[in-house]
Amino acid sequence: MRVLIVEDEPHIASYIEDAVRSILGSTLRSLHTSLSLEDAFEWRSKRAIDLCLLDLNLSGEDGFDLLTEALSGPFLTIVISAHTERAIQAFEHGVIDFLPKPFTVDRLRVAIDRVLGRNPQPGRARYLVFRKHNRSHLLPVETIRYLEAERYLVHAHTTDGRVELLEKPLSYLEMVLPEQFVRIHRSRIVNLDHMASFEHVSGNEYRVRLKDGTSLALSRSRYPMLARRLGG
Amino acid sequence: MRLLARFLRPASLLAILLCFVALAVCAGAQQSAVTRVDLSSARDVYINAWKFHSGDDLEWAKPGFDDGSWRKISEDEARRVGGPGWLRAALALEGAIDDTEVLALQFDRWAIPFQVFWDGELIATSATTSGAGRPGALAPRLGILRVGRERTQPSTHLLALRLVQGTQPGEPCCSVVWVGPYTVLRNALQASLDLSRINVGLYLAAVLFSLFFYLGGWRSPSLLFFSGYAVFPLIYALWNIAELSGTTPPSLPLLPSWLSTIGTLVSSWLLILFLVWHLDAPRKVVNASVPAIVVLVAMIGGFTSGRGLVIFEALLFIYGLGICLSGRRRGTPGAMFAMVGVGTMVLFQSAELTHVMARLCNAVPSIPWAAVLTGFFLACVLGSISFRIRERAKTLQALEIRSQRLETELLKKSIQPHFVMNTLFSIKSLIARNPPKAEELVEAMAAEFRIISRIAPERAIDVEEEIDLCQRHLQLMGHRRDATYRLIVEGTCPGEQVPPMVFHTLVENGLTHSYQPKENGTFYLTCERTEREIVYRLRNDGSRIQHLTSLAAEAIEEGMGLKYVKARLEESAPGQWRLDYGVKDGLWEVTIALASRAMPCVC
Repeated sequence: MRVLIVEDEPHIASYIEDAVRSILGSTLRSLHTSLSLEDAFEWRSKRAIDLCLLDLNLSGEDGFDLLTEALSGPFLTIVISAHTERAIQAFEHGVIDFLPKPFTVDRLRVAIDRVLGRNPQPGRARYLVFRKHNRSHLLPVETIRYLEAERYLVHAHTTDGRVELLEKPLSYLEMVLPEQFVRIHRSRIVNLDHMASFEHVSGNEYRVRLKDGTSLALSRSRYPMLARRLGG
Repeated sequence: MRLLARFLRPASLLAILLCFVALAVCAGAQQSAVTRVDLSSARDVYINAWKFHSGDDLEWAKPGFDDGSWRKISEDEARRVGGPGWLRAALALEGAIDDTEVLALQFDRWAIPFQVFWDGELIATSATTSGAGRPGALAPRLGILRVGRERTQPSTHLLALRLVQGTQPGEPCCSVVWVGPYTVLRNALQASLDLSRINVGLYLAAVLFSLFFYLGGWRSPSLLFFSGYAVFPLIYALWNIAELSGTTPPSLPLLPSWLSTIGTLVSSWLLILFLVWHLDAPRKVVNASVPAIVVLVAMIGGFTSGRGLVIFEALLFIYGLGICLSGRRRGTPGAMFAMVGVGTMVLFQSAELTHVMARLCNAVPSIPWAAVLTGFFLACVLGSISFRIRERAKTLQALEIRSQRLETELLKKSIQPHFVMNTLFSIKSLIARNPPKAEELVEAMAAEFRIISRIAPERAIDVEEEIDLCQRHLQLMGHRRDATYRLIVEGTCPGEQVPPMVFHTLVENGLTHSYQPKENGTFYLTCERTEREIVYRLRNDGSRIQHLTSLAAEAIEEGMGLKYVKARLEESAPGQWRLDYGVKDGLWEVTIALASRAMPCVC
């Protein structure tokens, strides 16, 4: 895993570095600490990362602009902050976890386990962030009908017919999206609020039909789970 | 030029215009040759068509004497003439007097002895006419003099007054002479006495109330102006009582003309000053100067008595009414009350000028109209003052609440989760890696919090204590950020006081926004004491301020820190401070200037 720590207090940054090393052990491919935003952006522009541990208040600047920027990138974000009153807002923006300062190594381990898919919990995101025309935009999750992965990108199909491009893995989105978003296929997540029905068509063919008439393929392996969820 | 421009504002122009109108009205006032008296109307009139000639000749008492070459004098001049000399007035009696009545003349106190001739016949002598009397000695009061029914047939009669001796230059010799039915004159005299007594009560109450308000803690100059305004009518009323009552001491001089003038014009000007300060009118100097010019015009123009004086008094009240209207438009508390009161007085004066007041008094004689209107005016003004006092109490309460809020703000700022949690996290990080440094950080945090808990409830602290707090904060932040920060104090102002945590907040801002992590830094604090103000300059050499050099100070967004500093300065030195900031000579500089006496000083 490639990790970027963005923290302007050197002692705290060192503590987090030590903690990340001890948690990830040999799975840690690279670790970089940025004491400033400028350095973080520069690092991110040159190197790929998988996880960003981000302090929300760097040099007196409100980190939410940065957070929005970070959430549009193709990596996962854990927020580290003393501003606990903003935790809900952070979750709504789709962060994996929020670590209030000061935290223990064990608490950081729980957060990283979530990233690694070892400790799944329903997400609380109310928005997904996407980049368009060099700007980050918020997409309210209730407007998403379904998400469809195509290679490393995800298309979000919205109720008004738009298709927005998200630079996040589908597995990440599955973690941060709320309960009504269900994985129905290796490459699809559907919003149950917009689903009309699901059926076994024939043989190995299973379909989900949305309220607007859209028909999506449903994996045979996910059919029983969907049936359980919807009492079918 | 700026002063001239300010004087040429519309309000000033209007006042000047009204001055000229008043002059024109006064100059154009036509004087009748004969005073008409309607015997059937049961009214009294004062005689205002006098002719005067100095010298002494008993022939001048006779109706057949041709006084065509005599000088006509105004009512005001008639009061100032001195003897030896004669005053003659033609009275045209019309209608028939009631059977039970008799025509009478009313003379108040005169400064010189005189004789009264009616159609050439001596009917009264006020004092010895031997000419042996001391110049300026007061003649006994003649009071109301019955002329007699047989002498008052409807026709033109001659009233001649023989002034026996002279007066001191500039001093009044005579008072107004009234003519009318005896009962009417007697009642009018009693009413005038009653009115004066009521006025004494009203104006004395006004003087005492405003003085008590002032001594009670609201040290507003407006209260002194109002007190000054009310003093003159009070003296006037007291003097009047002394002159009209039957027990006048002979040694009491006549009311000096200068006092009479001041009692009217200057007190009206003081009323305007009261309104200007009371209603917090803008451009105080202009608003005080314009009516002062009106007063000067009246005095230089000689309009210091009679109709001219009333017109100028009315002009001043109209100006005052304008100030009330302006206050009302600005929403000043109490302006409405003041406006109603002053408006009433303007109506009162207009009614006097147009004789509506006299008609009203004759129509409803049972109501002392002048006293009622004056009382209403004073009640309105006192009501307006009470409004302002209530408003002031509210403001003080709001300031108290704001002060408490700022104290809470200070504590919140000092123990804000971000600061405390990051410090604790730094300590936690250091415990394992560098225990001695962790201990130093704990000590630095404790030292800073000790100072903060001590100064939190204070509105002002010694500048040395504030500097100490800044040093502690820099030490703590140095530990946290693994850097070295210094505060160099260049020139001190020992004994001066500043609101708590003002420099601390600026230092905190500087650390947050000016320096990169691990970058060492130096803050410079200078203090310069001039005659008018104390100027503090706090600069820092952070590398991150370089990008601000291209920005104007106005373009830099003010955060909570600067808002806190401004609120603290306003609380401690309302309206007597300024704060500037920006990049200067490559350093970020914040300048705080406090007026010299704005903050307490133990220097």
